[in-house]
Amino acid sequence: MTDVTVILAAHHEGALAGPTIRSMLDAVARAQEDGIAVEVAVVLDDPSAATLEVFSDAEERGWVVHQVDFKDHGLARNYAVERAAGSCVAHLDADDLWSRNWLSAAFGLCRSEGDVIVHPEVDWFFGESANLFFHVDQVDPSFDPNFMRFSNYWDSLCLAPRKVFLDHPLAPRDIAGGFAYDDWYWNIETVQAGLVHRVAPDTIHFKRRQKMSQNIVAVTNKSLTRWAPLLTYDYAQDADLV
Amino acid sequence: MEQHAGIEEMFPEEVFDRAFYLADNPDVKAAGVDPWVHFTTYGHREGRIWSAAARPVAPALRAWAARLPGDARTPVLDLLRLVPAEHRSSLLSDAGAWQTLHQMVHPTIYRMQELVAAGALEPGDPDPEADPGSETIDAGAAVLAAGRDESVDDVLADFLVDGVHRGLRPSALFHPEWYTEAALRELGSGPDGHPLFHWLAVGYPARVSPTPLFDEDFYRRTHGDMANVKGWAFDHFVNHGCYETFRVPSTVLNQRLGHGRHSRPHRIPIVADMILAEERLEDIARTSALEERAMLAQRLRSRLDDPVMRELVERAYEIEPMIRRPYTARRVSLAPVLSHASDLFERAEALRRSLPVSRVDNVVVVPHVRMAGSARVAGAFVRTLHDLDTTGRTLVLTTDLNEFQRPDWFPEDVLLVDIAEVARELPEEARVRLLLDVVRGLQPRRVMNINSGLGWVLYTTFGRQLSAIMDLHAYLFTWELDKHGNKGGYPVRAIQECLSSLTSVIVDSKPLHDELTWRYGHSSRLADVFRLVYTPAEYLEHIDHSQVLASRRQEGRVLRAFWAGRFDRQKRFDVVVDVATMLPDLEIWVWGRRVLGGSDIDFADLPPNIKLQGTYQQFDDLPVESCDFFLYTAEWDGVPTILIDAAARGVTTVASAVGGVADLVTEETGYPVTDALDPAAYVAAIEEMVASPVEAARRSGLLRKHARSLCSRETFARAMSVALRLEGEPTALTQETPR
Repeated sequence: MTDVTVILAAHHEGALAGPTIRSMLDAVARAQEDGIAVEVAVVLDDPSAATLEVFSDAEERGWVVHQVDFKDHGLARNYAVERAAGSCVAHLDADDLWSRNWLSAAFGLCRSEGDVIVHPEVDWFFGESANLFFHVDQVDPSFDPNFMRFSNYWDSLCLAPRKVFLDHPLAPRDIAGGFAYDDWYWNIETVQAGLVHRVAPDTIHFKRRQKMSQNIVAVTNKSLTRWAPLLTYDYAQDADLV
Repeated sequence: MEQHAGIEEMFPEEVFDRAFYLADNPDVKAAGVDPWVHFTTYGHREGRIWSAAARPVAPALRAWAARLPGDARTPVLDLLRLVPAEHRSSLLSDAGAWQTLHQMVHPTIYRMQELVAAGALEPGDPDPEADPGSETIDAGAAVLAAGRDESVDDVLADFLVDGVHRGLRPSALFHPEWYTEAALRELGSGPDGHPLFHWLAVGYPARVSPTPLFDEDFYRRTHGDMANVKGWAFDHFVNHGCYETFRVPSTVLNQRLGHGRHSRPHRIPIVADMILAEERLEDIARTSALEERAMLAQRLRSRLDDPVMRELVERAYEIEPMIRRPYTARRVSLAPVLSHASDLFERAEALRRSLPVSRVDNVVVVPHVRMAGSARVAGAFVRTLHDLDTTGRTLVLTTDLNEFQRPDWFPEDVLLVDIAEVARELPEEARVRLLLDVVRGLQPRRVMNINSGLGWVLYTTFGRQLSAIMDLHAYLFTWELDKHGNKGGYPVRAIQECLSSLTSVIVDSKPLHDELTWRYGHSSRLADVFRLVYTPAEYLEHIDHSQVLASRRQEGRVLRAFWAGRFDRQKRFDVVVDVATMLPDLEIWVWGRRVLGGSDIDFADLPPNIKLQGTYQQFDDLPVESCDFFLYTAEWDGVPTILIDAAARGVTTVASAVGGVADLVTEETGYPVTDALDPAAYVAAIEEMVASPVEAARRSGLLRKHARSLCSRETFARAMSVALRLEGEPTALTQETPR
């Protein structure tokens, strides 16, 4: 019985995936020490040669490898989720890092609290920007769903029951249509569905900001998150009454 | 007991500068009195200072002394009692500390605390009709206005006499609780008296920030020029940075400072205005919402100092040394209070909660509703929509100015919401996000933009996404000519950027309709987007001025024209001036006002035959029967509403044949002037008209008939019904008498 499937999504990261793998191995080792059964699945979406090289021995290490050609981060993750063995899934991008306690803490919270979606306490951005993005626990009184009309509460690198990802797959990117921020939309969808986003204290994700990130492309493209009931004043009015 | 100790016991003699005292007090020197004896006997009671170090607070000490009754006049002694005994010597001789105290005084912050303490901001008797926040806002504005011109010395004296004992603070940059906690944390002990004097004596020399609004590491990393500033960066911020709009003192202020690079009035730091701009100020002597956010940010940042977190970061650093880069200031975010979107969110939520509805069927976006053709068109459009979509709710949004001067142009029950005021001082990107939120939030079936610049930004920025969930419509009146003589404006640039998102574009003149269709209508769908819809004329049925010129000529009255419009570049009032000069026997009555600028007319030096009449509210206010004809001189235009008004009443018209003007005024219906910028051409047209009053009357009659046909309300309603994809024919046109 696998507790957690780590889905490591890669495409053009090349050598940057090295530190990512090292941090993942740290977190997996800590989780295994805590008795958590972990599967590692790598999804290579239209990978560069340098990225392929980094993962060339992945299967020999016992990792599941999916090579796909979606050219869409969300669809690649969905593909891997469908094939994951774990009762929970933890997403990792191949240029980011986890704190070594992440998997243990997140799985522990998920197991104790039920079908919750777990985020780290803080995202530590590095590379092209140096920000600290603290995540908000949805049970905290400061949480206000209406804020999601303007900004995203949580990053996409979360841990949640696999069923949550199956019930709420990530939407395909639609840059031409002006829709991006798939993680934001996923968060809106899951909040609308009544799921709860929680924060695992004392955990950190180290997020690499590159010169041309998906986020920067989305900002430049004046993208919006897709339409959802949560974006309406009817929803807000109902939320006011709760 | 120190309470009863005298000045000799309290004041450390070693910091008394005898030479300075004599030099600073010629009367003492002349009297030959020992300076220390004078100081301890009289001088300290008069607020005289003991050394040059105290010079920054000398005026305040004198003012303090003047405010105390005779026996109690012991300002220096009172000051000493505020300073921890063990630090008196060092503080009394620390010129930097006294200078800093003086620099830290912010009159508006102090006066607001007095106002709050006096209960002046408490709402009065409940009045269900009153805006519950208005008294607070008015009182706060009065304080801000008063405090801006106040002397710091007076405020400091008031604080020392009174405020210090009432727990008030003199500065936007001193937060008593923050400092107390910081002193305990960084110095191992906190203040037992007023924290401000502990800070001056102990915290300031030890460089303990007295406010959560300043973060030295952030300040230095954010401002490259700080590399040249030696010493404590807080000194720089207090003396300079807090008055410079481009300075960012901490992560929490990063998202909220003003825009542009300019300096502010001395003594009114940006943070003071920001604190006072917060909604709740009842606890301002202790803290404010802004400072609470700043403390939250600092607390969050210090989470990374926790041993567990440090160990995790260290391990991550071993794996990836890049995690400590870049070496810029590390900003802290926590939604919803510490976010780039916090301010916008607060404004948007305030706006949303003020709305009487959570969903509408139609949103009409206009820049404002004041005396302008586009506003009148908006009124006609909303009235017609009201008739066509009888069950639908329509909301009119003003985006540029909170003005609604002509409610009579709109249905009585129209929902009007202004976002210009809510969006005040926001950059365009944020303003359009606000508009997006309203439009997306209300889920209308259709949006109509009638000349709103922000509406066009919404369409060009987010039109493709919005058009997936609602119909987007726009009104175009005319292009403009820029100063180079080239076409510009919404029909040129904006339309290119969002045409594919638009369901319809209503155009009010045939030339512009034909031009746009010629340029863009290369498929049946695109050609169909552009709809020619003339603005409906408003008039009383019986009004007919077509014979006025003939009557006046027959009666031998002075030849008189009227001109009405904006004194701006487009309307070419300069041509009117030239015509008046060329025809001194022609009297021209002029109504109008400067709106857009760009005209160089010297209104103090107009020809005597031009008679300025002020402004007018509606066409029928104009004494048309006292004028022979209407003179219109615009260089470019659609079909101006004033021309429609004049034409529908049969007013004889001489008009520049530009744009949509020619849709009404032709050789059959009036006196079009082809060369719109040539005064002689107008003169020729006027002379032709005056030479044959009968012909002028005939043409004017035809103009009246033509305008009433072309600009009928029924035609307008039918065209709108099709353009807006409303089902069925209009059935319930308003039965009120046409105005």
